[in-house]
Amino acid sequence: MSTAKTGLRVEHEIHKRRRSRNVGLGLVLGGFVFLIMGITYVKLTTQNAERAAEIRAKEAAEAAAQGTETSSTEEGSD
Amino acid sequence: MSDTSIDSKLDTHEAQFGDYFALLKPRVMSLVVFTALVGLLAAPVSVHPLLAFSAILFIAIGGGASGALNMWWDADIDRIMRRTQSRPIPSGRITEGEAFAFGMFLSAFSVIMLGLATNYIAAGLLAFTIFFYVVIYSMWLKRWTPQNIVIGGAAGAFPPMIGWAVATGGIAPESVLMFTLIFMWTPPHFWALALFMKSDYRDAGVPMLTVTHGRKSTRRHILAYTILLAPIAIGTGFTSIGGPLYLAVSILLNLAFLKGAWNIWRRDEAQADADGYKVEKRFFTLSLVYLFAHFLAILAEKTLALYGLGGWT
Repeated sequence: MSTAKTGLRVEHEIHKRRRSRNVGLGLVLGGFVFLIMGITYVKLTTQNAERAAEIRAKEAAEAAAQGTETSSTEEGSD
Repeated sequence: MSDTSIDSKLDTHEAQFGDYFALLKPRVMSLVVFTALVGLLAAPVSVHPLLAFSAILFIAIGGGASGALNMWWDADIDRIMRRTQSRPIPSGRITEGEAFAFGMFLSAFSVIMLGLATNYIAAGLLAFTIFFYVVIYSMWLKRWTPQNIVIGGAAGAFPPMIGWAVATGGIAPESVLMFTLIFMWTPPHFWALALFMKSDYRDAGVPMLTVTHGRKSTRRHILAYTILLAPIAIGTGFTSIGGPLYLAVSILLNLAFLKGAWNIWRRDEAQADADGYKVEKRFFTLSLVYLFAHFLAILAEKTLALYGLGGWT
């Protein structure tokens, strides 16, 4: 069974054999973290933009309704 | 048994990263990715590029997971069939238990992630696709009926519907047509393969049509399904995902496909043996071009529409 000593660490032969698996899995997990970050950013910004548009539309509708009420009151007082 | 013998055994059987990737059936996955991408892009609703990329990735992982579970279930027949003997389980690089755990984990992961990243209709369709391929096709139909490939073909036909659902959050006649196109294409494609992979299915005890009904009947079935496929493929050209370009491509390909099926039907085994199944192999290759070109034409129509050229308007 071959082992190589590097300072205080002992590299077992199994580490060499499984290098491709470990490196591959590391890259996949790293990529997954970045993907989740990206999805979260896109979802939050898209949803915030949609929410902001809804609020603006609601405010515009309310302002328009108030404007109609004011003009009808003014017409009534004449 | 000495330490050395244990080590040498481990050396031989140690699974590498590529072996786990091979469990996902990368070639099948490429078809899943392409058709799902076309379904997603052909839909009338645009999706953020990162969400579209994530959706295709999770659909591919789901498709791969069902491939791993299929390899786990079919390990016994994969050891017999020449075509599948070098797969990770029959060759001893990955155990059946590992493949099962890997497939189950990735199935759950892909469905949950697709649901979170896009919508639950798409995630539900992906879950159903995995269930259909593993339970309905692999566990039930494949070893029971010669219609295995006909009904089981539905599993491979779902990806464009999932792609469409990612964009729209629902199902539409266009996505059903893309499903039907792949569904009807699958039997002639696999039966042509079964004709020239001669003894593989018989040796493994898989009731392919060539084994149960004979090769003459399989040739008739290929012609019948190709005739039924043509109006569906051409008819799709008149919907919102079609257009003049798609229609031209579809008519040409269906004429070539019908001619190929006709040639297969006219031949007998003596003729096929004499030229090494040349016509059947050519039909099989044409079937791959056929499907790829149809979906590419759908994508082309969508791209042209962005410049006011594609579609019927």
